[in-house]
Amino acid sequence: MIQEQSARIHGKRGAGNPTLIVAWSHDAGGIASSVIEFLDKKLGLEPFGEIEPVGFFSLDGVRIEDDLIQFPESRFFSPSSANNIIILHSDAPSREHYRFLNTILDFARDNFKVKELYTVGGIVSASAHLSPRRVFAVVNGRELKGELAPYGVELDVDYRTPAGSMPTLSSFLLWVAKRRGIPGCGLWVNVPFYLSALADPIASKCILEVLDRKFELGLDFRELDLEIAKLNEDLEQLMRRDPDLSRHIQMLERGIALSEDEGEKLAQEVAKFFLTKAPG
Amino acid sequence: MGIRFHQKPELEKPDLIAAWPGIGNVGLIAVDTLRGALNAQLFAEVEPWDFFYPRAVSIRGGELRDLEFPACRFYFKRLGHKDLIFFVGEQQPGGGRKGYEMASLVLDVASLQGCERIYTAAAAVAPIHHTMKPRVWVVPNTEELVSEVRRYPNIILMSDIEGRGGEGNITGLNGLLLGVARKRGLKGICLLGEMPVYISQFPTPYPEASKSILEVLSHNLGIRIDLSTLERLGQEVGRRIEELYQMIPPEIREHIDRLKDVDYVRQEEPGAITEQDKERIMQNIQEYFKKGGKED
Repeated sequence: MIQEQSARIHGKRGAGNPTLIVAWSHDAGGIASSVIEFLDKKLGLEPFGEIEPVGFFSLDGVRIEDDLIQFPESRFFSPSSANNIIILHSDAPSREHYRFLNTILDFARDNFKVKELYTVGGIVSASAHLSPRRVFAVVNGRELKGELAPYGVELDVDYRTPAGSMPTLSSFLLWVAKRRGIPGCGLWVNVPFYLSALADPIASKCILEVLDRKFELGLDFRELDLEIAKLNEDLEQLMRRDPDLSRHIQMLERGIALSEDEGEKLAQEVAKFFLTKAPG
Repeated sequence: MGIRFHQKPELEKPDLIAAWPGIGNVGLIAVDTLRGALNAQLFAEVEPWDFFYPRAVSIRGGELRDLEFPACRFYFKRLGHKDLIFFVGEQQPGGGRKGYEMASLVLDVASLQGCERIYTAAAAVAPIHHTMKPRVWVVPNTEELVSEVRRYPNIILMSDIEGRGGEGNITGLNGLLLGVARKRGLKGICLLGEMPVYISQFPTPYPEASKSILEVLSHNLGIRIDLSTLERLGQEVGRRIEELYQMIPPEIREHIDRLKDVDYVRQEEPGAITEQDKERIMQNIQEYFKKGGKED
């Protein structure tokens, strides 16, 4: 079996038809990774399995990020204080996507009999940071649609990949799951474009709130609320300092589109501000 | 990894004519034009998800309806005196194992249908001028076919090309398919339509080369096809090429124009342009395009 060659279990995890939550690294606003980081802090995630990178990732060398050597990771975790979910936090493979996605589903279904899967991620939008975030749900079959109605997600998305773009790996996974009869749902939250290369705790919180309610995780958001207040305060300070930037953000709040130059300048100024700002 | 059959036609020793995208889509346009002109019918397709990343997702009312992948389809046509299978791939799979796997799948279908001969088509980047009629480089995968292909019209073999010693490369599936066919004992021929070296730098098709390939195929298959659509496309592209050509600085154009007198095919008698001249012309042209088509 593919799974025996490509994935292995190295820890204990109780059985019980859990839901698989899939988070890809490096999405807009780092939403998926920050959701996993938060769940780790609050629930204590324990690694129990992984997918071997051979065949799925380029292993000709290594990438360096933030001064550190990186290596592709695809690891399964389970929370020590919740047994109704298991989590895959993974880099997106660079080849053999279909086989990689099947390896995930083989591993999750054969070993843990997962009943459904959720993916989480951010999408870049031309909105302002103070505008309310929207969580969109895309299901791969009707089964989950009714279940999701109480969680305040938008369930009426119409979309087709525009020319020059490609579908997300989450869409590909939902499609593979559908072919295998596994119900799946993609949860997407919009991230203002000028925060997409940084972090957007507001958007992360929106996803976490849905997961918290759906899976009764009992998450404490006070720490995240402080982070959100700090982000808003910092952006407020930047807006006071730069009237042009302030005007552009206000335009976005009123739903007025910026020109390409204006948008680029706004993203650059915000990135510069946060990258040069001393931590804390 | 597999093939989805829509029907299984009974065919008598068909020839397989296959193409994937390549430089100027020369081969693909030739094969797809022939397929369209003969109104060949779809009968099977490669399941694409093992080979390609999807190119579009459609979501309606919050429900993921489908993913769209590049298509790789088989068609058939009974001509009376000859049966044909066409294979048209919208995208080449990534290199290495995937290319080999796709070539094997295509040949599995060909063998299942009793196919005994395979044609592929592609571009041959050559030192010719765009006002010249492109010839067709013909590369068989077995010695047995050499004497036959020499009788085709407007063709050259690799051994006819000065300085090549009969050697060269065909990149991608248009070549690999014939290598895998050779391994399986299936005869095959690659038809490479000449494309001027400087045009291959432009993101444009080159229907003139496709037309030359089609002329060889039509001759070999004993058929006549309506080429008017391809000729119209050729005229339109010709106008675009002429516009681009006029944007090239005059001194580079002068070098390119000298290609009209270059014959890179081995000659019994020395031509008007010496080997050194040819090298200098090509060097000047290549240097210009290496700089991204900009002067210093």
